[in-house]
Amino acid sequence: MGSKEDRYHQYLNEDKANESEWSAEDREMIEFLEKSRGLKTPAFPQTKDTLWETIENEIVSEDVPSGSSVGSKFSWYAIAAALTVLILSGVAVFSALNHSEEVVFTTGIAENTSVDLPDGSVVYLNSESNLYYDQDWDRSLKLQGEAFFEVTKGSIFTVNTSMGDVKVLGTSFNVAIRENMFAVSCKTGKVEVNFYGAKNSAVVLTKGQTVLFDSYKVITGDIDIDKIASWQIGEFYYASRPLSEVFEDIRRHYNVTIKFAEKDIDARLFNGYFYTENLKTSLSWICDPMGLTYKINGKEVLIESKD
Amino acid sequence: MNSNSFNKNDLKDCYDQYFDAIRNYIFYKVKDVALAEDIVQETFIKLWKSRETVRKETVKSLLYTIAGNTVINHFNHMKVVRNHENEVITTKGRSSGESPLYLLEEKEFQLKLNAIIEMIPEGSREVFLMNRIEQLKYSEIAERLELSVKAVEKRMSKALVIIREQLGRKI
Repeated sequence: MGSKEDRYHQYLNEDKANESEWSAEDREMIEFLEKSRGLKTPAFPQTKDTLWETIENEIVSEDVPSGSSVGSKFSWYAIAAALTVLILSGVAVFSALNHSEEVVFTTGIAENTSVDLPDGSVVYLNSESNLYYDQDWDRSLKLQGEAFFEVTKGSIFTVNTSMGDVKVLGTSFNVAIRENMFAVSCKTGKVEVNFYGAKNSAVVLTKGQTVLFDSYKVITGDIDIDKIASWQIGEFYYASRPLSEVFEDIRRHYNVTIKFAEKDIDARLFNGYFYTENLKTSLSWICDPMGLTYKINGKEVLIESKD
Repeated sequence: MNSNSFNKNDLKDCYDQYFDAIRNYIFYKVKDVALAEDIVQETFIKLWKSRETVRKETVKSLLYTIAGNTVINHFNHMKVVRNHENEVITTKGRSSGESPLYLLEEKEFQLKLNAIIEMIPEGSREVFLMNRIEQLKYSEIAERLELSVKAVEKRMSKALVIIREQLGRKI
């Protein structure tokens, strides 16, 4: 650690900068450090007082058993958890529960459909998806693929998938369960998502929030309401998702097979979107920012690097 | 604060005094405002639960310790893998293309600034932000995080190295 480092520390610690001692390269650093002094944290949703109220309520109930989740808002999980059935493998559950009459809706490739459920709720199925529910309707169903739900108000409504489940009381939300990926976005109301891949994990989403679980990570964030289930209007948005996922959506929408000239292409991360005007335009939206080119040969598309 | 018992008023005093600092500290680590709020609540509730052992002189650093541990627990709980390339928690607005975490006047520089700060690993990041945003001296940071001043310096140096590297690249 030379004297230059020390000077930086002195600057940071004491807010002093002896202009004459800094070199040109240093000046860029100092400018950066100076500007970062003006940083502010973004606005927090709740106020100090509101948060205190929650804490106050929690500590008044003195006998909170150790090990339970903290905060009154978490008590909802406790109830829902009791109702959750642990599903270890999608196939096994579906066949085990097949003893009563089951209603099934299926969409093929490049097909969307809407389903009216017995309680007035509506489900919009994306391509290559399956929906199952008992004829003895109990506000629960099983989903494979992707669907947007508009659930009428009532008792707890459950969407079961092989990777996790979603519980709501009455709201609208999108659920996608594809190859090793389980994602839920809440458009209105409140949604509880239970991911089977992690013990005791339950996430509550409110309007404009989204959660995505894949093989080894959890991503929560905010999403524009307009972008939720935008697949319904042919708009597909991705925040750092592997190209394999992106091209799967292309395949499902256009019914083409995708081949990659190099092995690593489909693992690259894509941050962007495409619209489904036509195959060529959609492919351009994806390939151009990623330095890739596409070749269309009948029902087959070849993707390769521009180099 | 009575040496024998830590009561609700004591908790409220601590809350009033340290809430902002603790919430900010948690935010610097998790980069998500809603999550930071959840964790700051948990932190004060945990302080309450261990009130038998709380001492006025050390309550500030105790809060920082509890906050830090709660952040770790949260991530373990969700089996989150944090990996430099795939930063887990997307910031408010990343999906919608709005301005990211920290606010500043000039938009362009702000984006660059945000991008660089996000690359600083946790540990160094909060030291950097506590110094820059809250104008805390190294000795104050050291006291709150129960580190030596040398350790704070080391973490700050790490942040500086990354900043220098990133500035060197024409973004």
